[in-house]
Amino acid sequence: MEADLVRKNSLIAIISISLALSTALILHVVSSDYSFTPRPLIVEKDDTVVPREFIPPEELAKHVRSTGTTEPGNVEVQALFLNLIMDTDDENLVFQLAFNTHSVNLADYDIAEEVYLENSKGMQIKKDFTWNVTQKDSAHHIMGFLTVPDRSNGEPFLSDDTEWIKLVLKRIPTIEKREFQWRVIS
Amino acid sequence: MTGASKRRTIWELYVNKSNMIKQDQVQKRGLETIPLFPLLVSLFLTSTSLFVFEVTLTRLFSPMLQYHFVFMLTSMAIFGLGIGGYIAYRLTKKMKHAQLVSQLPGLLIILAASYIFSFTLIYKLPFLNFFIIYAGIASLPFIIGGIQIALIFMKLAGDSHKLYFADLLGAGAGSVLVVGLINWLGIVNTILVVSGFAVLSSIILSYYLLGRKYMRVPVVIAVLFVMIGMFQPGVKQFEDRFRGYFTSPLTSLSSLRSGNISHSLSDWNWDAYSRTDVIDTEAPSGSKIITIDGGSNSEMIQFDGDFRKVQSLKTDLNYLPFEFGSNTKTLIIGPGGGKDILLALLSGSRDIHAVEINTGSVDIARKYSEYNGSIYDRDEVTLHIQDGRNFVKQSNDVYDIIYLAQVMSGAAEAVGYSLAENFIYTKEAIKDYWSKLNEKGRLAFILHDEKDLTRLLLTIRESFAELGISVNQLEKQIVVINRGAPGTSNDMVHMPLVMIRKTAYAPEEVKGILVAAMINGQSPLYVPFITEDYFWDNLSVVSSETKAFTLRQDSGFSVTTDNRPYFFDFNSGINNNLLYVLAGIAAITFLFFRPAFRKIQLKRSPVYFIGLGLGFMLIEIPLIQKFSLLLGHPTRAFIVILVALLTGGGLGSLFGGWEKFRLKSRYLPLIMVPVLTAAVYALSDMLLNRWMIPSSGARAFVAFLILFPLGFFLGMPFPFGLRILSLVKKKDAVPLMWGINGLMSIGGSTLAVIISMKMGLSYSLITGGFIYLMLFIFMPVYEKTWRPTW
Repeated sequence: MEADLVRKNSLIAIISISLALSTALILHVVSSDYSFTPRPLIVEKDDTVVPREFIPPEELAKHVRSTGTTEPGNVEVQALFLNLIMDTDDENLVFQLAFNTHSVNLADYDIAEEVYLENSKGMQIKKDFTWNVTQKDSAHHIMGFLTVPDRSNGEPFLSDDTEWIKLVLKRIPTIEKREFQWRVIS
Repeated sequence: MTGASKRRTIWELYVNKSNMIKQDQVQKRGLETIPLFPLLVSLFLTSTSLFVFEVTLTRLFSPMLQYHFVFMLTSMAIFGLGIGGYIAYRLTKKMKHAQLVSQLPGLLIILAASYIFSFTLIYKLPFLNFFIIYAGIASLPFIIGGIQIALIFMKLAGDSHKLYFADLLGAGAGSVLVVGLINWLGIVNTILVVSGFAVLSSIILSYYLLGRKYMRVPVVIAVLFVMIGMFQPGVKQFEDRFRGYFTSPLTSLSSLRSGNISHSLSDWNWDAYSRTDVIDTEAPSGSKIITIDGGSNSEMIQFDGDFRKVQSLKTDLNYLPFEFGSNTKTLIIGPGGGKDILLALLSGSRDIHAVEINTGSVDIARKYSEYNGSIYDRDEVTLHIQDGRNFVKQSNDVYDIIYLAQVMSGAAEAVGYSLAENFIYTKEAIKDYWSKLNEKGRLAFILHDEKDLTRLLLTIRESFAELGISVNQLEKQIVVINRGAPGTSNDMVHMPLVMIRKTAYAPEEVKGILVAAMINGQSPLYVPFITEDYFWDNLSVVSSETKAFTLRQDSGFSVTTDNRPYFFDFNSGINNNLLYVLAGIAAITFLFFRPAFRKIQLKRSPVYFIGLGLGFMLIEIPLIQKFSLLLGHPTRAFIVILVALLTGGGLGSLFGGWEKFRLKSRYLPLIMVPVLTAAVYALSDMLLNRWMIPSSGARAFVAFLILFPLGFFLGMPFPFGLRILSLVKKKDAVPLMWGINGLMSIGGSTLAVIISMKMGLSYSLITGGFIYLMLFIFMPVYEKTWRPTW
């Protein structure tokens, strides 16, 4: 009788523990360390503008041109000539513009139609501007990129002997003609 | 042969008395005849092992699942205790008590096997999207443990005070042991140890119930466990391959896979707080991702001490707060992999206090010190391992900048089976930070998305109102900038920066910030003098529909406070997972327990045990939350609070039968619980806000002293109820009552979370106290048909 008891005790203990340990062993053997192989990718050209290097804000502030205020009826416009400080493509001139106002409906204005460029050599660009709004919180706060091909009558607008360029923005209240000028020869 | 033995269940086979030992021998060796002490030791070991397993489950699920699911699954697993109690009751109807008792040693061996089996399936099977299967697997040990404990309580209901003492003491010991085991031995060894406890418990019971020769099997199994434990390379390899986590779709690893980003898991560690992973990516910056519990990420940047090589970090939005103003003395909360420290160093800060709650992150960062330039051990850096808020409360210093970059509190849930939170983003926290800033100091937050941004802005606004700072003033001191150039990230709010300065910005300073943001491709959301005034007036919700940070009324987002610190709970209603847990409890109660209560003609006493289960947890859970702020680290809070409450409860259980605790038919400890709960709450508030004790050890000691008396009285009513059942010859009901009490403990902890989230921690305590008060007044432990026999 006692031998039966021992045998049955042993049996049940061995069954339950064996089941647990063998499950652990089998599942461990079929498992593996973490690994991941990425799918092959078609690499696209990264055409985003990136800073050449970190430029401290106080240094950057020297490149920002600003006109107007946020007083009633007026618009504050800030402009950056990105070709001066960023790796942009060589074929276009790129400006970042930010408009802030509390009262003027900026949606009424097509910026691309209200601008032209001048340079120290007397050249002008008056058409082919593209205005891409990148942030529009409301009709009062707009930011975007103004792009135009670096060509005027087939000649490069920005060349080694260009001393300055001027972006002119027309008819944005309450200033009839806003001028943003950058010296391009250091 | 009895009908029951014919069924030949597993444990019936283990010791089938009708075949093997004469009935009189069984009677002779029943539980009543063996010395109580070994029985208490056995119960203690089982209780310890179940508690350690419960916390280990939480750890196991945390990297695989979101934390609400972790809570739900762990809770559902612990339903097993209630189900075990019910099964024990059913067994008493089919088998003789002596037969049942003689099966206990075998049951304990099965318990040991179930720990390994359950753990292995969760750890090694590919991720299962049917969470109910996880709950079923995880509940196996609780069902078996529940049967064992319920049977012992039934047989020795007259000694229930002593049994409950051993049970609670075991859980208290488990709360200390689990931290040491996981921290020092790892998670697989922890499972081996808890299985060993069950086997040891079986050896003890075999010796006293069956005799020395019947110890051989459990002894051999114990030796086998020791041998496995000695083969540590194998254990380590087992632990390396956490397939459930590797295949989970809810982790950072999964996000990297979805994004087809080349990466590898280069290192990891476990501790009782979290699992910390190191993920190598092929980012050009050469950074590693440090992930806590699979989802809370921070970066570790390659740095050899040459700041020229990391200048590009200055274009990161995270650097912007350091760019404007002095950074001489910096406080960084939650630096994780150390990137924030590097940003501070880059800005010229030479006195950096880094406060990190997760030891695992620091250990990993130190392990990779060659990679990150020993970022935590530089002369400029002072490391504090504790909760950031707690550190700020204690600190007597003032800082130029206090910086919190995506400090996640979800990880805090890791300890214990409750949805815990920390107190980083509460209204009171903002005030604490504000008081530790110098005249031109800045408080900077990097957040996750539109939801936490909205909630933080609302909290800041209210916090400032209480500080006497009007919205008009605040408007001139705060800047909110979104990450990424306009047009990127689907125009959603993405990891934005909120920066508040102690003094107002001047218009020219704002221009500098605007320019810096513009040039680095960031999008200003709010800047003084520029953004419309209605930004604050209408601040309620950030809408994703309008593809911008627009403001709408009626968000339903509440301000987070120390009393309701659930910053990341964005549900306007109650989380579905919590409701599922409650529904599960209700279903089990009505399907199984209610018919059984009717059968044994008990109407009032189930209410008593239900009330105790709910009340205990409604008090314990918010206390863990509350004291984690006081004690500075959730793991420390978890240990101190549980040891105080459970050992206090264990001792209380021993003394609970004292006649002087009875006032006519009333049981006085029931009224002591609400009284002491109120006292503990008031004292903890005072300790937190008035008498902050600088030494963490002293704080832990004081917390222990405060909580111990409450635990003492909390431990009395349950064994008292069981003893009453024994006195009125209702011992068969004991497993049922034990089961329903266990089930309601889960209900209590779920309700505690719901009430704390939606109303506040204090309301949970009030509800718990109220339940005890009602039990005192109505004393439902007595059925109307009974006459107390004392």
